[in-house]
Order: sequence, then C-alpha cells, then structure tokens
Amino acid sequence: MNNLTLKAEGLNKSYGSNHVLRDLDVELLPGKIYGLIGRNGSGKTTLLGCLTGQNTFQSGTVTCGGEKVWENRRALEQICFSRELPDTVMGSRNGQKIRHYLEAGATFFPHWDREYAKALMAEFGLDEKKKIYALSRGQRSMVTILIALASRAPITILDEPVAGLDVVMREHFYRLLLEEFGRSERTFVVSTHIIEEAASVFEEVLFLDGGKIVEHAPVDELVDQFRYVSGLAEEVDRACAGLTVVSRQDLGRRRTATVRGGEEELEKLSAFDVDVAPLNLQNVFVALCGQEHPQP
Amino acid sequence: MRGTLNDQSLIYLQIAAMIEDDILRGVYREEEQVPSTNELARVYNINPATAGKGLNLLAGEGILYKRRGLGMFVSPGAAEKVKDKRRAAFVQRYVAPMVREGQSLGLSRGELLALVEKAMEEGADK
Amino acid sequence: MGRVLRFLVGLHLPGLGVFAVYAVGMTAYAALGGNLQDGVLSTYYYLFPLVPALFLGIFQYTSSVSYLNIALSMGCTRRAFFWGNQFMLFLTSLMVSLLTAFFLFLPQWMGWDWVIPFMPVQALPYLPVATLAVGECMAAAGLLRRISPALGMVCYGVALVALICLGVLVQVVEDAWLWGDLPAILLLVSVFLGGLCLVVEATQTRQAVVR
Repeated sequence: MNNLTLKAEGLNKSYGSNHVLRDLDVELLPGKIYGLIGRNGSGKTTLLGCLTGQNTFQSGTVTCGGEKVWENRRALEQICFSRELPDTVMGSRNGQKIRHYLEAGATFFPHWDREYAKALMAEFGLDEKKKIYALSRGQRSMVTILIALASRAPITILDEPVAGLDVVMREHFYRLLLEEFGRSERTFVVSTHIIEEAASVFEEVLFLDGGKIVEHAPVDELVDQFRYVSGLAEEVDRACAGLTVVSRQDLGRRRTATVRGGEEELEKLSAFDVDVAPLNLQNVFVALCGQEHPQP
Repeated sequence: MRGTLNDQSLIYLQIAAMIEDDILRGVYREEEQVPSTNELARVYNINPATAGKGLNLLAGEGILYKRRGLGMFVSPGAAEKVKDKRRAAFVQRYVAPMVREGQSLGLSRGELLALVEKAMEEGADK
Repeated sequence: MGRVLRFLVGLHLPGLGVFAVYAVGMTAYAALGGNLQDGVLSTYYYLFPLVPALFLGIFQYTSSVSYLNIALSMGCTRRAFFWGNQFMLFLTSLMVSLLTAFFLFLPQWMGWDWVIPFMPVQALPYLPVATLAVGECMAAAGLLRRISPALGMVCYGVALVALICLGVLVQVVEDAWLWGDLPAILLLVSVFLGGLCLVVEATQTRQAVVR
C-alpha cells in the first residue's frame, strides 16, 4: 500500500548567484504517474535532486510521508531517483560495469527485484559485463530505466529516461512503465523534453518555469482550458473578449489567438464566426513557457 | 494501436466514444464485459486513470455498469442509450455547424433545406 | 551500515585479490632463488610495505570519486557511507599489515634462509597506522577533487608525503642508534596528516551531492 506523499515547501536552491529554485512548492500524491516538464536549464534535475536527498538546498523542507528526506534512511529506502549515468567521471571515463550498478541497486534498494532486472537486461539486449563508457547514449538510458523499474521503489523518479532512445525504444519504455504501474501502486515521476508522445502516459503534469511550478494539473483538465481561435482579426478579438489571451499570431487580416478559460466561457466561442481548435499538451507548454526571454 | 488515438479531443472522451461505437456495432453486447482499465492502458499506451475516466463517464450515463471485483459490463439497453446520446449531440456536432457554414456561404433557408433533402435522397438510393 | 559494507566489500575484493597475487608472486620469486641484484626483486619485492598503502590509497580515491556517487544516488545516507568507509579503511589497513607480516615471516618458517626480508621486523608495528594515514589522505583527496581539481592535487600531495613517511620509516626503523627519534617523528607526521584528512573527509561527506 503506497501512501507516501513527496512534498516540498518553500524550496530555495541557488548555485552561486544563479537562483534556480525559488520558494518552490510541490506535492506529489501516491500512486500516480507525473510528468515534469521544463525547458533546458529550468532546474528539473536540480529539483529532483533536492526532492530525493541527493542535492543540498538553501531553505525549505522536503518530506516523504511526513518525514524529512535528508539523510533519513527510512525515507530514502522508499525513493529511487534514477538519472543519466555519466560516461566520464572527473575527466576520466566511467569504467564501472553494468553489473556493479545492478549489484549496488540490489544492495541499497530494499525492494529490488533481481528477476525483473534480469528479464529487463535480456529485453534490452544488454551485457552486464560491459563498461559504461562502452555503451551508446541509448544503452545508458536503458540502464537508467532498468535501475528505476527494478528498484520497485514506491516513489520512483526518472530524469530524462528517453534521452538517446529511438522512437521504437521510447514506445517500448512507455509500455514497460505502464505495465509496471498497472501491476503496482508505485508513484512515478518522469521528467522529459519529448512531451507529446508521453502526454498520454501521464496522469498529472507539472510545468517548471522561472524556478517555480507554474502549473500542476491532470493532463486533460489542463489541456481542455486552451483553444486556438482563428479568423478575421476583429471577429477573433470579439470572440475572445471574456477570455485570457495567452498569445496572438497574425497573418495579414487573419489572427490566431491562443486563449485560456473555463468550460462555459469557451463554449461561447461557438457563437462567433471563428475556427476553434484544441491544443495538445506540447502546444500548451510552449504557449505558457515558451517565451523567448532568458531564464531569470 | 496507439495511432488510433488523435490529439483532436481529450483521450478519455475518445476511449468512451470508441466503446460506444463498439456497442453500436455489436462488438460488445449487453451484459458482456468491456476491457478493463489496465487492458485499455496496455493496448493504447495510455495511463490507466485516463482509461478509467472514459469508462466512468459511460458508467455515469448508464451505458456501462460496474460489477464489484469483476469490472465494467454493458448495461441492458445500452445501444439505445448511446443512440439517444448521439441524437442529443447531433444538433451541436453536425446541425449547428452546418447552419453556421450555410450562413457564412450566404445560402438561404430554402437553399440549405433543398441541399439537405437532396443528400437524403442520394443516401436512400445507396 | 550493513548495506554500505556489503557494497564496499564487493568492490574491494578484486583489489585484495590482486594484492594477494602480488604478495604470493613476489615471495615465490624470492624463494625460488631470485638474485639480490635482480632488477625485479629490488623494484617490487622491497617495495612490499608501500604496495598495500598504494593499493589502499587508490581504492580510497576511487571510492570518494565514484563509489560515493553511486551509493548516494541509490539512497545511501552520507553518514552511513562515511562510517562504512572508515570501517573498511581500518579493516583493510589491518588486514594488509597482517598479510605483510605473514609474508615477512614465511621465508623464516619455511627455512628459506637465502631470502632477505623486504623490511625490518621493527617496522611492523608502525605499518597499520602509517598505511591508514595514507588511506585517509587519499580519501580526502578524492573528495576534494570532486569540488576542485586544484584542491584535489594539493591533498594528493599530502597523501604522497604520508606515503614517503611510510617508506622512509620502514628504512630507518632498524638503525635506532643512527636515526634516533626519526621513526617516531615520521609516524607522528603521518598520524597528523591522516587526522587532518579525516576531518576533511567528515566535513566534505556531510555536504556531498550526487554529480
């Protein structure tokens, strides 16, 4: 029975003068698949590191099941944060064998499933005697995924697990993730850049922007708040009068507005002579977080 | 299988619509079990909660019912309920847009109705 | 702490194996009539006391640079890693010293009179502590390397000093009338450096992040 909530309150993390996480609050309830989406440099890995006791932070609290996570063995046993394995360590190549990581996983994770790990090794076609530097980026991602899944940790976090994987392997990963999720009550958090193909896998999504979680909602609830409204510029403006206009794009007299609003407000759009189309999750992310200003 | 879902409408609505279509086509008959959330999740590569939302939507409308511990089953009279639901949505989905489009094209009421009748005759011939 | 020990021991074993092979190999070579003038003997055999310290040092450096990262990324606490690592340090220092003693006395027990001891017996008591000091310094060097290559280099130098202390100590301990208190002084220097590095280890581990 997984009833562990992973929570951060007032989290602040700076690297020197770079204030990456600003008074960040987040609450991850158990038994869901979350997508963490943010631009490069938005601080996804930093945030995940802070949530899992692997990174230090200046102020705030991070708790798991009500207990502080930092240096707390009981909490840490329930969490697996699997990130990309480095192919160089301090300038020299990473000569660890896959087998070492698997043994380490079996040693440290109390719920580690050796059979599952073995099966995944075979499924990915990986040789445990191979050293990390000899693996391709895709293969290193596979090891990351393997460790995350085989850990059987109640709260499992994967940082960019599909980096370097081709589309067939990515689909395979989503299938494996959903299979394991269906079998267990584990909480999964997946940070990714490749939004749209993963959107159907997430139950809830979090947008990290400007050092804060700017959106945290079930995927379809979030996506359903947005529409593209296009037509003659004046008509579009009239139609969007009561709505939040997120952005506008003009092509001659044709205007396309991206709007946000509640169900009732959006229904009123049908009364106007405009084309109304839905957005997908990727569109929503770009609309909300895709401004060209540099990260503060 | 994933390809049958598109991003034109929310996934759980598409799941619900697919099951409705299948009920109308006789793929699922009354009192038969429909796929579970996990099966749907597996086949369409979607989150089980999303699949569950679609099933719960149909259950809320009485098209499916839940048997504790077993899953979701097609209610008696489900096909009729689906047709009723679609009839009610027919105006919003097809008739209203058609009327609007007709207006923007400058068709008169008589012209529009004539086109509709012609289409119905052609349809009856087939 | 049991998990950390299981983790570290598993990684240690190959190294210990190599050391054992080295020890056996060198002793066998000497026993089978290796010549005193022999290049091999003078290079490897008489370096015997230093070799364990070297092995230990390299392992500790790798441990700080790599194994700490792996352990932390799998949910190990810093406290557990620090104490587990210290335990391994003490244990291995002791073990290699015992092994060294064994190979020192073996020719005697076997009656191989032609084999000259690679170090004076009086050096034995100093060995565990001096070896441990080198280990602590290398562990600290690894940890400092994680935050700055320059600091890592400096600490590496400190470890080298500790190693030299060990080397010289082994040489001078026999002729007490000539060197007087030097062995004791060298030991104290070792202990001091080792202790300093121990403090560095403790403070660095507390704030370590996964890289």
